[in-house]
Amino acid sequence: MKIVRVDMSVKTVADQTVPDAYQGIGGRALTSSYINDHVPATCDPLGPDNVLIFAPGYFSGTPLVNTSRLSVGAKSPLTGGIKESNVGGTVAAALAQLGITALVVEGRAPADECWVLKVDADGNATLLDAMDHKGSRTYALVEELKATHGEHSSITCIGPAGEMRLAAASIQTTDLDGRPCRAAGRGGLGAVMGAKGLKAIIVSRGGKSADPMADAEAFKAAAKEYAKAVKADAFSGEILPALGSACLVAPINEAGALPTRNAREGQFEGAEQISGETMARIIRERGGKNAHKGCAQCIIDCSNEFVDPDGRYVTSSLEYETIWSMGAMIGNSDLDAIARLDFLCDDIGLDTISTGVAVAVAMDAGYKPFGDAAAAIRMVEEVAAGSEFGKLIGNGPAAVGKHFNHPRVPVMKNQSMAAYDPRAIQGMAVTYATSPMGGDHTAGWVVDQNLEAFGGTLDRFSAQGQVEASRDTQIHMAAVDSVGICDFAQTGLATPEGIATVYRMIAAKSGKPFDEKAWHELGLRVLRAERDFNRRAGFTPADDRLPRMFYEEPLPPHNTVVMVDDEAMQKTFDF
Amino acid sequence: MTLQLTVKLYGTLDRWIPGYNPETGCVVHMAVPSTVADLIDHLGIPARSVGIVSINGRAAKKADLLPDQALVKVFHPIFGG
Repeated sequence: MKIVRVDMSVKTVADQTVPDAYQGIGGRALTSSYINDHVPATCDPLGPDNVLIFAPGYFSGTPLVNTSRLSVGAKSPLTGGIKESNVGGTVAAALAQLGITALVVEGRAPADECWVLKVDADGNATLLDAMDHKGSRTYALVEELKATHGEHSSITCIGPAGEMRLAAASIQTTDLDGRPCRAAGRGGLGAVMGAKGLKAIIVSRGGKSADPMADAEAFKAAAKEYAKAVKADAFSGEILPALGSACLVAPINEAGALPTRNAREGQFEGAEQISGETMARIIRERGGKNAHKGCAQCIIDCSNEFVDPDGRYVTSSLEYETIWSMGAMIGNSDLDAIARLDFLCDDIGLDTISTGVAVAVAMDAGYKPFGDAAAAIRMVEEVAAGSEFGKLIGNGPAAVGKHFNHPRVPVMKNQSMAAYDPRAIQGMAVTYATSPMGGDHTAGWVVDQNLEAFGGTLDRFSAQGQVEASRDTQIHMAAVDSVGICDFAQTGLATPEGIATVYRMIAAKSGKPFDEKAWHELGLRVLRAERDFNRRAGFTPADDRLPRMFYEEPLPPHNTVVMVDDEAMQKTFDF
Repeated sequence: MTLQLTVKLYGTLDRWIPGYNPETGCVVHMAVPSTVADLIDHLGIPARSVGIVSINGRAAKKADLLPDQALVKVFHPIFGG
């Protein structure tokens, strides 16, 4: 159990025992607490005072399935607030198996420098000069680093967008096949990494120094039960392997909640062409891979490898959010173009959500027509080329809206919303508006309550119950992101018995009692730290609102607007 | 009098209808009146395997009546984010 501290200003690396304040927590609880404690809230996110912290979930590196989840934290250059961006792949398990609770990157190297941090099989970290890799795209970078440092490493890196410090820059990390196709996409943390002069982190996999368990047998028994529940669930055991997260395209479109053409409509006439069913069929016919394993210790296999008509690799994994942002949101029903755009974003190091929405705003402003996929590809390529327009796209939708003086920009705290229109699922209005993360679907996904059981246990067009649903889910998700369970493996904790299994595992690892109240307190701790940071950074209740378009423009086909008023929004964090 | 419906199945629900064609869906005849719940029962799909149903592009409740010539889409439960 140690924190590895890297100071990019003076190029020092030091191991530190985990301070008492951060004992027994991981993932988002650790990153958000650490950032709130150590980063001046009003600092320049790209300056030396910002801290970039990488923390595996509390369960990462344990025998529990689907727990290779990494939280990346910093002050966000996109939102100006605190950020936790969550990613799978292999790195979280690798760090945890080396006994590394967190990697903390401080200071800032001079702008003309470029460094790689290597963590060897003994968990020792070293900074290496990486000037040869300056400016490289992620796929080429990873191949070069693997050739030099060995295949059996996890590589977490930035592309040109991060080096250019663009506000929608992602941090990419390798999957089980060693491709940099997993993204900590949200919040522009790639720009923070770029500003620090850190191009990549290479972590040796397969370490044997994971945290000791207070009761290893009890943990294993509970982990086995949990895995069984994940496998037995129809969604995680059957539908996700068959279609991946793209299984959401058709139902969300049918619900009239798929933001289309920069959220001018809630249904896309081309949805069938970009649905999960169509994608899986194309992949199957072309000889690609469905039910692909992307992350360490995954038993769901929701990933895929999308290939071109000749069977050549295009991208992995084609996911719901990207299919939306590069599809319906820009009026594009060409799945091959979506796959190409997904690859480009991974290769350049860009958040696919923010980038797709940035393109959508440009199209909405009249720069190019909706549906022009070739133009979208050119726009994303311009980011890598470093043109002035490319920088606009790479800085996200708000930058594009400002450039065109175009008011229809679907962002919250400057970060774009995701693939659920809040006018058709009112609870998402609450989550988007109030999450300390800005527009973010994973922070409080209340889509199920609004659509499940034949039309929802909540009335999705009414404000009734939506604040409470979002609040409860945001608290719960803050805890989930802290223990490092994959979103899709939450099927294992969806029942009272399932969540009790999680409490048993936390108790078995820590040696301390853990119950429902402690779970709730964990979630609250995270949100309080994040809210405290944002308040000190200058955020007020006025920032917990949506753009006017969502209150004023009825969304076809249901022609509804957001019904949750400001007073109700403000009660979200009454705890 | 009977209703004629075109039913499309999503996710892995097609396994409940042998020979189902995903391109065209399947044609189902039901008595008048019939509800969404009646249709799911008629198709032999366990109710727990269904999360969302739409009639002519609008999400429907279990008790909603099915109109003649409707396009009914049946989806699995959803989860995640």
